[in-house]
Amino acid sequence: MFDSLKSKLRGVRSRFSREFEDTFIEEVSGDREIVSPAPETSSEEISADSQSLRTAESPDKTEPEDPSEQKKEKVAFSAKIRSLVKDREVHISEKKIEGPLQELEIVLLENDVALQTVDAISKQMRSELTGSTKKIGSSIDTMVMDALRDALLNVLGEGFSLTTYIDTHDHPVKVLFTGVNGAGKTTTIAKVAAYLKQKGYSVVIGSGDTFRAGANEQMQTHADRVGVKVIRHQEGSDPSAVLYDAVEYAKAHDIDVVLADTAGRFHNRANLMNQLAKIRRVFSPDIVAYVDEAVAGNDAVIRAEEFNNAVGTDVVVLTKADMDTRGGAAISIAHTIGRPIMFLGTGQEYTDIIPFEPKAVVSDLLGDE
Amino acid sequence: MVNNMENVEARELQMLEQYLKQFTQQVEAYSRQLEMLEGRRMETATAVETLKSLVDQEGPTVLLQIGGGASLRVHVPDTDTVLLNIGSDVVVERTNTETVDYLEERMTEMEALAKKIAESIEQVQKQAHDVAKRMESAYSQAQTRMNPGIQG
Repeated sequence: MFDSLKSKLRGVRSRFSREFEDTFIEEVSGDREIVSPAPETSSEEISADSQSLRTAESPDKTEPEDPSEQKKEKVAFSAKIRSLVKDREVHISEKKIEGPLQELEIVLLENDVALQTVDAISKQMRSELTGSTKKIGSSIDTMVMDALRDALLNVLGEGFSLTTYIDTHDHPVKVLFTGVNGAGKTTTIAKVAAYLKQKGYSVVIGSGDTFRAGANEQMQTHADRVGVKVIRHQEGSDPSAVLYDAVEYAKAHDIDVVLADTAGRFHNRANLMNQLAKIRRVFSPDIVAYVDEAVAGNDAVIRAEEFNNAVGTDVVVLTKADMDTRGGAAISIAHTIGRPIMFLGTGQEYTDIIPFEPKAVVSDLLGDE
Repeated sequence: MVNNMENVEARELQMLEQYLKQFTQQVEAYSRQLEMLEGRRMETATAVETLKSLVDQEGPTVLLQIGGGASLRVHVPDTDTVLLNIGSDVVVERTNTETVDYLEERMTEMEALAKKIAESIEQVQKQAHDVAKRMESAYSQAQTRMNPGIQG
């Protein structure tokens, strides 16, 4: 999952580290030049000629100095290094991070991260690193990693735990799944049902996709395999009525969660969006989950935003994340629409669904041990 | 009793039929994705080939499609500056070599993804094959029961 992004981020990290190492070396050699003149040197000796000569000399050239001076310089230099190591810090200027930061922005954009999310990450990295001082001896890589981790966590938000929500709210908890055609809503519902069942919750599915031919049967097949009851009406019937019945069934049988399927639709289809608005009124869901493919990248982000504007969204589920090497949608979607990701679909099996935990995702992206 | 058995078989067959339908739909969806991916890969390969061949040409010329099936012969004054959309409609200026590297990397990614999709198709097809075999044996069992005399 997100392999391309992972490897590119590794490259950016080393670019930051190289840049800061250079800062460290420059600062230390700069200090060395100040220390170099021996205190015994008389003012007459500092003529215009010698000054120009010193400028032309490389810092390493020590031959003309006599051995005692060389020793003094060595002592002074090592003392300086010691003091640098013990007391001093290297200052990181905005100029120094500009190059690697630009590289990071390009890497993120190339991996389908939305522009506004790239800006947010870049802004936070800049503010966290610029003007900061690095204790020499502390790891540069750790500092960069921490800044990058904070920036990514900031855009990913807090995540959303469905089980925590169920535990803290009245039952049945009603979850409505919406999204475009072919994103994998029906399969996702089966996976979520299997996940909840495994966690010990009772689940009923409302087969609200009465529009697509065979959707009812598909839902039934999944539910049979997962071992969950499905409430379904005939093809072409009113989805609101199906979902109302599902809720009534859940109430009568003391079921914890109602998972409601809906027909796939695009946000620009007014009649279908009106139908969804009616479903929302009748079903009054606790959670509206928008489902889309992670592989759709930036398109998924744009669609999610438009869907959110049209009918509202509480959480996002990204399917086919195992096929997504870039991770752009996963990183951008929460930040762009301001709603957390609830689950990632990661494969063919019913168990191939993982709750989206920002810290775990960021650790994985940054290759933490 | 016989009726009950027949009901069970009918239900099983119906269920298997659903599985098969579902697997077929999955294969179709994956195949569509694979087709789209292949289209994008071919397009990228064309761009790479064009960029590479432009470098060696003297007075390089390309055909610029302007819509409606019409094209113009266009002279390219600078073959080493490429405007490249890297995502989110952000266009950056890259050299010819950098662009080729970028596009080739993208092609590698697409190939890896295509391989994954092909594997998924194979997996689903295998499942579909198993279901079809089960259906076949269920049908033949049902037929045997309905025509016991033929066997003897």
